[in-house]
Amino acid sequence: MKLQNRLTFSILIIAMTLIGSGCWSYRELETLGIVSGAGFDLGKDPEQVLLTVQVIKASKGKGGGNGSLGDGQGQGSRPQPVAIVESNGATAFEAVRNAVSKFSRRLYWPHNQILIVGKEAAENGVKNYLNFGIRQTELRPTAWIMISPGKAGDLIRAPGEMGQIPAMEIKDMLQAQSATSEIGSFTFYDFIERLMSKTTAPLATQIRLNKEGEVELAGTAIFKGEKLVGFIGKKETRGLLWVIGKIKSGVVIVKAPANKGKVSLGIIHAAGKIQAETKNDSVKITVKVNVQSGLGEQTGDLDTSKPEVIKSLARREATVIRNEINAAFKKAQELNADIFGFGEAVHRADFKAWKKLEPRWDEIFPKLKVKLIVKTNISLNGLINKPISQK
Amino acid sequence: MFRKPRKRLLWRMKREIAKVKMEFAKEEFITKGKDLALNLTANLDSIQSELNNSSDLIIRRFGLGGSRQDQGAVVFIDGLVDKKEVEWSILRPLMLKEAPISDKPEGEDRLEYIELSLITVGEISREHQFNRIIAAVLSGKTALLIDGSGEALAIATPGWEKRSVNQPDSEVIVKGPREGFIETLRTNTALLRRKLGDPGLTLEALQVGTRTKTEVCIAYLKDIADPKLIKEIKQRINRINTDGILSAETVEELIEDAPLSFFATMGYTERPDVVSAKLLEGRAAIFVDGTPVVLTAPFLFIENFQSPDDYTYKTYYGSMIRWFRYTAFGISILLPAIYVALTAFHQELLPTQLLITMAAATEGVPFPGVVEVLGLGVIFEIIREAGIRIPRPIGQTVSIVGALVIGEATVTAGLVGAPVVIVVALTAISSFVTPSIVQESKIIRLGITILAGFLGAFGITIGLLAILIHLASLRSFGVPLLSPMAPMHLRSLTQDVLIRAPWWMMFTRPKAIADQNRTRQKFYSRPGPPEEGESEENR
Repeated sequence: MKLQNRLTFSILIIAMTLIGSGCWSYRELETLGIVSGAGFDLGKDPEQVLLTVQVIKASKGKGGGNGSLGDGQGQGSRPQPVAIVESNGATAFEAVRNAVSKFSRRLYWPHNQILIVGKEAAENGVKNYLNFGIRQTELRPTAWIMISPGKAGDLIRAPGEMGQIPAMEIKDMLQAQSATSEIGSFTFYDFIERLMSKTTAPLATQIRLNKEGEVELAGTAIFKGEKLVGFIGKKETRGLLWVIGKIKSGVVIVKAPANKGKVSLGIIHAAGKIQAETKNDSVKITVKVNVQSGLGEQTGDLDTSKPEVIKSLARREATVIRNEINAAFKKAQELNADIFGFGEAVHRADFKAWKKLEPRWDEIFPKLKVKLIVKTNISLNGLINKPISQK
Repeated sequence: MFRKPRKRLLWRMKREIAKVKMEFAKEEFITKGKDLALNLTANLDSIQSELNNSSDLIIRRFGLGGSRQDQGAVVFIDGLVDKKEVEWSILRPLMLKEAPISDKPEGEDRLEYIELSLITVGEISREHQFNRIIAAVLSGKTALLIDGSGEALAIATPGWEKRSVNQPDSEVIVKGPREGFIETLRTNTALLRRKLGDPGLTLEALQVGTRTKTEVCIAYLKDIADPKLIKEIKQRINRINTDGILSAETVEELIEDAPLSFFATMGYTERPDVVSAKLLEGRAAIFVDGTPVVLTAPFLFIENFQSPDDYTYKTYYGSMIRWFRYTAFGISILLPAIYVALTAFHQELLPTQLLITMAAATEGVPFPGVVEVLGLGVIFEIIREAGIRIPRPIGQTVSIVGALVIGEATVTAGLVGAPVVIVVALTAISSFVTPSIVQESKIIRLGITILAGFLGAFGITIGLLAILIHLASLRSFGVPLLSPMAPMHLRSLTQDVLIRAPWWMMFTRPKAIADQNRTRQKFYSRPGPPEEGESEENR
């Protein structure tokens, strides 16, 4: 080919690949309905899926303010910064597609923050709803998964307290829970990972509307396989988090020796470790929890400069922690749900024995004895050794 | 398909070329040879007719040493010579009675006596060819002819108008020398000579442009610059065959390596200190008479990011500011493309809050993102161009219209999203951080933005790769343009690319340029207080 023809040819090819493909997957921002939260419930017909979606309304507002949320009308009542879309379908996927008939924009999932499943739906099995989330590439596995004791739709509809996007507020609330570590936060990915294990129970945050109609995080929802079996409260949740090593921060309150008020200990570092041993089909589980904490406050007049006082506080702290863990363990055995992942620990320790144990795990787990070793250490006491008191 | 018309075209071109060749031959024939006559009047007449009786030609006849028979004449162009100088150094000594010119025999001896004993001008030469006399007169010399001599004197009495040496507007720096080149070649070479005292500084003069007869001067340091490079530059300049050279850029376009590439393969500067630094690194400089711009070659891509200020700042700040410059270049070529790709294809890559803000800002904007970015980019270019061309006194109008109408009103009216204005403005400002690569970055930006509009991040990748491949294929006078990054040379990289090393650590010249003489200074001559018993002179 002559140079000139070759040049023409290559220009044509480049132009054709560009124009022929024609802005593949080009989507303008204003054609997207950015989903901030989604809830799954059983429809009126239990075979149906009811999807409730919170879509962010982004508009400039008429007051001339740039980039604010909501439509900016009225001073007294804050307008909702989100639109609520509800749609039905035989499957979750169909429900998502059906949303188009009620909403002008295409639902756009990557920025979805929370996934809420209603109790009834969760008791029926969550696979119906979540399989779509795994297959569909738009949904991020980092979305937080939550279970509502009532309808998920009500929570999606609930307005935010700060006038922000409600789902974002819930997300922020969840992330702030590390201050107490009484609420577990589980991503969609964590949930699926546990769901794929045969013995470990999937977990999700329990979210509910309290009597005042406010959104509240209440504890943890426990699954057996894909089905919801029960909820545990805040105390048990912390017991669970100690063991699976998810405690980041928090406060442990202990009674001071000799009735000298209360002492708050702030958790600085906590580590939980599960060790399993098998001998002739009998399983021995050891849970080691190592906690470092600092003195946060005291209401009495303890002289914290004395090492024996600190030591006794540490002992008391260990007792509190042990109680929490035992409570969680008791509840788990009641529900026969291996929330701690003991089964996986056995698998790691002795995979040959596990092959025999795995089918019988439901029988073994409720009778399982666990050795609990809690080590506590109070280190950061600060410079104030004496209590506040008159001299 | 086009074979027949093309053949015809070729044939026509051949004919044109032959015609031009013949014209050149004719011209050479006319101006060549022809010695001066012995008769003064005849000579003056021929000069007059050769210069077409030009009004600025001045011929002054006078009697030598007060005599009436022995005649002489000075010939010069009005405005090109210093008339005082002509009067004091040529006319006075020759016309006064004390001068015993008439004692000397007529002809060349008398001329020699005048040259050696009477004329008090430094630069003087004897010519006998007619065309050389004419050339000397046209270049600002004064010709002295005397009756009965077949030779004449060409006396340098330059006195044309020239600009004073100022700080160049295009390369303003904070610290460092303030002088800049001007339009006169001699002044420029003198400025360079003042910086480089080395006797190895060689200035080779060439003449290009068949009609402008522009003097072009190649400067280099003899033992540092690669002789092959100098030879190649001379060859390329000699190959120039055009009627007029009016700027250094014309020379650049006529001798550069990749004439069709949009990347420059030669550097330019208006600063003597920059030229000196480049010569010290083994480059050659090309001065062109009539322009303050000096070309340097070979050119490395990285030179676009080096500023004389880097070397006057402390090394830490110098290095940091250089990285800011790299970043600014990145912004200037990529930001609009990234904006388009993110808002039109990859919304999931944006943080949620940012996405909401952007969605709110672009809500109700009638155009797609690419159109907004490209459109606003075009508008910006128009405003910028208007700002340059417009006469100073009404220049403010442009900025007011540009800032208020385009920036504020379009956003308020909802024609353009506010983020787009920010993106375009930031891009424009960033591109001015590296002034020598502004043109290139604009073309790249346009291309990549369009690609991003079609293909998103994939398009950006394609565009960047294509540019990288193209850059890697470019050479400047035998030196890879991307050197020392590719081919990589670690020492050059750590001296003047990744960081601006302190002067005492710049031991070597760039390998790609001055390979045969690379040592700049003693290895690791770190400054510090003298050691005990150290000699005073040298470490």
